[in-house]
Amino acid sequence: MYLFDTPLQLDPILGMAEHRDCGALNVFGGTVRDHNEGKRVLRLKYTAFAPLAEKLMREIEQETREKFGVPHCRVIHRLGLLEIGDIAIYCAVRAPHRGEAFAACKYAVDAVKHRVPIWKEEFFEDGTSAFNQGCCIRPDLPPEHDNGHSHAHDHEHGDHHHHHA
Amino acid sequence: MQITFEFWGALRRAAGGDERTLALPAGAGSIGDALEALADAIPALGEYLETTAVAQGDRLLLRTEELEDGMRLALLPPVAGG
Repeated sequence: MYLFDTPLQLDPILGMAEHRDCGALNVFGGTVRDHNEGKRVLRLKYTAFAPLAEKLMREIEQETREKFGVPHCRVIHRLGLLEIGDIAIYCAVRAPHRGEAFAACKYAVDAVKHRVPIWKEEFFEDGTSAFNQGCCIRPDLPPEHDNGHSHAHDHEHGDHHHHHA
Repeated sequence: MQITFEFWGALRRAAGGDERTLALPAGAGSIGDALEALADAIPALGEYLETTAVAQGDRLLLRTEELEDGMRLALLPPVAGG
């Protein structure tokens, strides 16, 4: 399972019963923030195109394990209406050492944000709502529209200030 | 042929609904042709389509791929999970 309409449970994705060769457990949790781009946010709604989203999340886990040589990577995402402070995403990585555990966890979370068909609609104090500007996942986007936005990038990505003008 | 478009994310608001079925001429051609017909039917979608991905089930399609009668195409605007 990758997508949940109910609060995310961390324990089932930790892989604690296995991987006795691992000395590191790295967990990232993304929580709903009360502001974005200067506006006060009251709540969020996440939607996903599930058939593709689940396949891509499975691929991202596999790719992360191979790229960083870590035996365990799991990532899950919440859908539906979320309140401030609710958990939107969990990623758990087990690894022999902490270096690759931190790096793999960051890689997997960034990949989910950039590649998986999930959308975030923010509901503001003034009664309006808006979808976050995101990352284009069209495989054959002409280069002139890509605006130099490489998905191999490494920047902090919290507010998604992408403009595919 | 009949092609159904599903709207996701911000496209739902622009399209004013969850989906739309269009009857296209037989042998209408490619995914790209279908999107042009959609932009004619719902002009408000036009500005979004360049950065919209097209999926059928768990597979992303290229604009050059051929249409088949009865296709259900999911239109996926830029994503922002996490």
